[in-house]
Amino acid sequence: MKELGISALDDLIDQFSQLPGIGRKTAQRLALFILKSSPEYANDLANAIINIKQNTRLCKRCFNVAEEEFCSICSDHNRDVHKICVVEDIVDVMAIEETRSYRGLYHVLGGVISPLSGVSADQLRIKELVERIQNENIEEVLLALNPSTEGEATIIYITRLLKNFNIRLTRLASGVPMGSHLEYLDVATIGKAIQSRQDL
Amino acid sequence: MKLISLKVLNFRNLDKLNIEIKKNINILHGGNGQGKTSILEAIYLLGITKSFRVNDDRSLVKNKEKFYDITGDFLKETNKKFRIRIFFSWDEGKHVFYNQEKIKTFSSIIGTVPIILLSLEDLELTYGSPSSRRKFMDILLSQIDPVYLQSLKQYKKVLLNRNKVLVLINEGKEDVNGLIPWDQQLIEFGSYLCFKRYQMIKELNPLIEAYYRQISEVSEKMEIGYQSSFKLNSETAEEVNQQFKKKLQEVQARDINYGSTTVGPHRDDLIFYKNNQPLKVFGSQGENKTFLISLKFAEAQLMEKHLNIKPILLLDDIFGELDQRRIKKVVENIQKTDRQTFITTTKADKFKDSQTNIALIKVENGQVIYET
Repeated sequence: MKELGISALDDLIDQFSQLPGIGRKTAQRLALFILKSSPEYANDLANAIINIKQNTRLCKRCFNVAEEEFCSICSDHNRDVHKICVVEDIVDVMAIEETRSYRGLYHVLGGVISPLSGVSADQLRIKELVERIQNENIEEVLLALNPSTEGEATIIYITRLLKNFNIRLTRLASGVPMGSHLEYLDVATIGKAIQSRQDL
Repeated sequence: MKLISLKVLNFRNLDKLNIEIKKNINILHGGNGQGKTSILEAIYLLGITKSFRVNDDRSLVKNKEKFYDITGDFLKETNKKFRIRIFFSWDEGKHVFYNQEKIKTFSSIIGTVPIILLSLEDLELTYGSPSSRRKFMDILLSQIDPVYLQSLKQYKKVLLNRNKVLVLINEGKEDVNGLIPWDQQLIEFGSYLCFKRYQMIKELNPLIEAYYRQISEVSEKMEIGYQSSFKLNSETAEEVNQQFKKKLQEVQARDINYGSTTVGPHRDDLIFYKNNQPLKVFGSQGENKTFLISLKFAEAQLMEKHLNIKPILLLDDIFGELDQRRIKKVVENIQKTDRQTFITTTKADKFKDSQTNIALIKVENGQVIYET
């Protein structure tokens, strides 16, 4: 498709194409959809975008997304305040919350150690994690990081920092996904699952 | 494992090719540049998913075409048939299929069709750079042991990160402790690689010597030495782990200084020996060739033992530098083992006294003509 030289349209296409997973073609389709949509819809969409920036911030305690000083999880009195689940990003909080099997608090690191991408330990919220363990009455820290080499490096790093605290330090089990078939799994996954097998 | 039919489209100088393979030993013969090696390369791709000659799939597409398509039908020892298809186009990239199923991670299919290749490039194995000898070990072990392949991929990632940290430490931007998360993983994956390689060489050596004796009919002591960048003389993976760990500590200052990791499986090498002296210096061309053929036979036997599948042998122009007597011995050996074998040669006359399980396939201008 050729640009039509209408700057309002081209601007919107430019903006959309910066979104993750959106290419030029899709950006054009989205922009044309909005062009044809009702003024109310366009208004609502624009407001929703403005709102998310104006009315949210990072939780002061766990760095999850929040509307107030503290996020909905940190201000929920029914949560177990003695447990912290350490995750890489906000999206991981969402994933774990969906399971409804964890009732403790979170700590969002904001990434993992990755020298190749220029991310070092001091750019992550590790210092803040240590402070929380010193100041809050924490009994368990669950490291729920992705099992990549970078995630592994971050687990090793944090484990070293925390091993002298009197807390239970755990990590996610790695193994066979629910509903899968062994024959279709890669060997590394099966190998890990055998290593971390459980007694019955 | 047997390849029973091969379809090739727009691959290298092959336009459109259909081969039915009925015999165990297949002699692809014809003049230079007719497409013999391209056929081997296509079969190799079905097993390893990559070419042995180039890294860029675009250069495998026939001139002026946009895609290549290779399909192989295989017959397992269990008499089950399956199909592997590799499709690549400039627009869509590469796709690998097992039967109808699209394979997400190409490496997961490696080992399904075990392949042993002796290419012209392999003649350089003895003389060339250490990286070619490491690649030889990695390809063989990756086919035998999927955990090896996985560990190799992880090791390479960890290594890149560790090297970056070394540079940062050197520049004063990072603490020495920044190495710890990477060292621990480097040791874990690296020691597994070293241990497996070391074990493999130990298993290969008596086989190489036996095959060499059969082919050459002289009793020379041919063997491979594993040259490790750290003291490696162990029977258990745990010991290798400790040795690697110790060495990594010892050279830490040097590593920081160089900004790169100076020990580990990525620095290891092999030395080929003839009667305890380097073959590179003390061997003739004919001895080198005989050694490499023995090595390939030994690899095939090792693979067969570990996988319980007979690998497919691809031997590219292996008869140069060999006298008639040795050629005869090589062919005898191939016939004895019942492994499906593809051999390219410019001179087919040595097979004209045709044994029954040999197919002579003439390759001319990208087409095949059966003669027997």
